[in-house]
Amino acid sequence: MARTERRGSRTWIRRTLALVVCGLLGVWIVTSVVEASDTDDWASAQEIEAARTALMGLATYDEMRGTSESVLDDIRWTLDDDVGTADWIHDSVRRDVGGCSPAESEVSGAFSEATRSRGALPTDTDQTARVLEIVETVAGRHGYKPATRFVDGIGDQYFYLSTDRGGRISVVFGELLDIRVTSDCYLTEAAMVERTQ
Amino acid sequence: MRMPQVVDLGEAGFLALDASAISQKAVDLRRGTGRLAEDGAQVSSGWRSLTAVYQSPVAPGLVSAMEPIGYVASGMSGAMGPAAVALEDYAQAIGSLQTRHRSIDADAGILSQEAAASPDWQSDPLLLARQARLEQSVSTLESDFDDAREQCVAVLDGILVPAVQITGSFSTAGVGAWDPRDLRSVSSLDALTPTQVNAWWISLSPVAQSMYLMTEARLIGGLDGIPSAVRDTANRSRLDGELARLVAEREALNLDEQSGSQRERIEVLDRRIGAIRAINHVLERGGRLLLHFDISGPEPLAAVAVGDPDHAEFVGVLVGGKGTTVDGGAGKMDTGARQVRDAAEVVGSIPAGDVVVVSWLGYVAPPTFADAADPSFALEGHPGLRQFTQGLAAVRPAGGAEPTVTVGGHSYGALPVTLASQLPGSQIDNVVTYGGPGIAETFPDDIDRYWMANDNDLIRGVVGSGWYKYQPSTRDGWEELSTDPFEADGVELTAGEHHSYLVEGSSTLHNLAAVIAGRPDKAVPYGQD
Repeated sequence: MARTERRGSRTWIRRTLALVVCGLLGVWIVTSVVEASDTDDWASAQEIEAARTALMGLATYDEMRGTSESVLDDIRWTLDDDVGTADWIHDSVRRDVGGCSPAESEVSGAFSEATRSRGALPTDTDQTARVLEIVETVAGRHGYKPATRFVDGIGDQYFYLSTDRGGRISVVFGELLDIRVTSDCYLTEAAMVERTQ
Repeated sequence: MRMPQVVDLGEAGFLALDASAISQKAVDLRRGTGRLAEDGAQVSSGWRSLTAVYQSPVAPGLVSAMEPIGYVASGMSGAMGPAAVALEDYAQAIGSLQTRHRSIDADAGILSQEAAASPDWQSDPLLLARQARLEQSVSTLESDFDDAREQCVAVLDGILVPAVQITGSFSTAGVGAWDPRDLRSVSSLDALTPTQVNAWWISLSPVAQSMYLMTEARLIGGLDGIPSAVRDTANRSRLDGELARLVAEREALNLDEQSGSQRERIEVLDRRIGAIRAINHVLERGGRLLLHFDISGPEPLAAVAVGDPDHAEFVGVLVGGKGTTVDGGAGKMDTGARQVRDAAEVVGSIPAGDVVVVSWLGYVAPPTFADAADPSFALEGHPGLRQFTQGLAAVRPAGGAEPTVTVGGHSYGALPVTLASQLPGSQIDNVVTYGGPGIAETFPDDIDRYWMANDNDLIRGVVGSGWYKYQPSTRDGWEELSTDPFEADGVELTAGEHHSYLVEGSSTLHNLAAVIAGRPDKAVPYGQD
């Protein structure tokens, strides 16, 4: 009798322990799954290495320097000829990583450049369509294709064009016509030399 | 076996100085002193003798104009003598302090060995007495260094301040009005508010500023209220040295058999090394200022600005959430900050340089999803954020325009951001939370507040669990902005969700940029699309 009671008591303890272990395991699995699905997919080491290898096969940043400025000049001159001359305000060229993918931006020595001009052009509905048509045509010659467009909270229109590699043009019809051209991403000559040594 | 560190020797500023180089410069100065007086006298006498051969109505004027050169040079030469002496004394003091430091370091090493061999060393009165004596010696070293620096600066300022005009971030309102009381000990600076720090900094002479920058880079780089360019210089000056030191320590540990505590130390070292490399990579992008760099704690901390916040009209400060670290997240946060800056310039039609966005990695974020339920990370980090925003305003000239400061909190970052906003004296004008699990309970009326959330955000799981009681609501003056994709002419603007709120071409990037640019009217409200 006493032996049966002890056995029953042991069984009860085993079941409780099993339940606790299962419970803890369940919590661990749920936490792991949530943690895994919440992982930031910024750029893995393999992606960065692949990006570096791809950049090594392209022209250098030094060779491509001035690209964004020449695209913007091209757009601006065409606009001036077609819809009238604007008083353009120019920002200086910035070297940064705006045209680089997440993986490219993690590669040391990888850069793109960006240039921006703002000008007061007549922007009624007809002119907006014409300006956009010109930008699309000129930018298309340099490899930029229409990507996205939207209207903000007060009705200003935003148009984005991009290249296959990450170069980007934004055109905003706000108080001023704002055009920003960002080039594709390239590796500097110094970084390329360092890598090949 | 890893030895306990029984005496903290700190990062003494004088260890970075080269006493023999300072001494050599003092010798050079003394040599130059003699030549200066002779050359000055020659110039004056040369001009006087010129009157014999050069007859012109302007000749007397020219000669009398050149006459002072002789006695000014003589006076300057006389003053440079004490400067050379002051530098020699300073070099001697540095050399002596370094010798004493080495001696204390050796004694501390022996004490650590003995402590390691005795598990209950903390109850051994003899060992404790030796520990107290060594700590006292360290403290004396620091105060002796303060004294040596003060004496040297006082002499140099007496000579140089009237003669030197320095511009830029090192220019001071108090040039020529030197007061030795302005030289503060390191510990007293930590207790000042950013406004007081700024008042102290601009009261210093250029020589004193340079001296602090050279000898207390760690302190100056982390002090809110110091001009951003100066903080950047101070923080950058430490990167190479710290990296070399950490890599050397890491390599030394690799050679030994690794115990549990060594593996722990290696993890810390790897995080610090990774953090410095990540910061270097971000700084390499150009146009960045390193406003904070602290690797003294278990988790490295930093803040990097895209642009110079001291001269911008609009400043955005981005605060990351769960799992955000310097070594793993500085690159991504900086990319987000640059994208927000670019978008804000466009949305607000703002000239380049007038919008600056800072990646603030100045608090230890919860490392895992489970930790995100713990508010202690935010409670510990939010005073630093408030002080950082106060520093942004404190560096502006009195009577000048203060920047419009918007703080954006992503995910768990919503909590420290809203906590910092409710502290008195915060310089925050707008708050935007995106993908956040919850907010602080109360909110001041004078801060505009916006939130973006998405049902796909995993962090919203903890909201349902009841851990976060307070949620933004329109009843409390919050405005919800859209995270949904836009569709126009069949082309979609990306939706913003948990890790993609700041992706280029997303609705959420646009909305955050609109608030930072002072144009919340251009943001797209929730439900409009």
